[in-house]
Amino acid sequence: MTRDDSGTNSRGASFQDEALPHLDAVYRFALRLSGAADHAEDLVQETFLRAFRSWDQYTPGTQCKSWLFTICRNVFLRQRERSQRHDEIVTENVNREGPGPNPINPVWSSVLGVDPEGDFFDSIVDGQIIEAINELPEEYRTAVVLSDIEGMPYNEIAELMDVPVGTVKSRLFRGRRQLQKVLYDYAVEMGYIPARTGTE
Amino acid sequence: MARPPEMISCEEDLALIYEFLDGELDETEHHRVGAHFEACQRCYPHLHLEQTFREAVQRAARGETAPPELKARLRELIAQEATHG
Repeated sequence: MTRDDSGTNSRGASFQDEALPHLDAVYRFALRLSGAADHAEDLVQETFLRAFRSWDQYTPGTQCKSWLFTICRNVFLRQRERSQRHDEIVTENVNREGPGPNPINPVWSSVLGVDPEGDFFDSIVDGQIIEAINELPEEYRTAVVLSDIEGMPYNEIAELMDVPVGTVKSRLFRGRRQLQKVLYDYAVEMGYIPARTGTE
Repeated sequence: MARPPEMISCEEDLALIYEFLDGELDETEHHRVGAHFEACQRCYPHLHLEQTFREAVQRAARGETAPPELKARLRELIAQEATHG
């Protein structure tokens, strides 16, 4: 498909029609990457400017949201390298397919005896959940955000993060389990749920 | 031929819980795993808690939207790029 480059208005208009509707989603993603609203805004601005400058290389109707997310993450990672700040190093066996050692979730095993409906989640304010997400190592955080919040399929996440699908599955497994443990511990600390040793 | 759900072990079913919830299983496997969850008193509570957890995460995060001033600034920047770029 040949893009209509008959004028700057056309290019700007097509970008506004196809890319700008994803602004909220990109902003949410930028917030999770950076953890701060002002940094997120800078990241979003840089993302959309780079995207617009490369707009001629984008094929209309393809995965615009994934493309924008890829740019956003790459900008974030380059900024992080330049500032020499590093998240916790995540050691993972990228050759290992499959989720992890124990399919039975020890957190749920603890919860089931005292709160089988998971009502304690209603007691946890959104800000606490966001903070817990932000505390995850970047590789886990990105995978969880892209899947659980943005609903992206594994193959798109794999392409965006430039890793095999098996690695995506592993990061989702570990990220979700880590997030659940943090929120469970917080709920116990706040008295939303009694502490109990898993019996399963 | 797909095995009846009762022939699937709980461990095998729980190992596929995320792929099931993420819609990443093929139709046959999705049906097989889902049928086990429906029929198993041990596994279904785990599925329910995973769904509740996911709903809590989505509720917390999806309410965030870009500030109106950011949207306005972007439109202006793109217009400038379009004119001068």
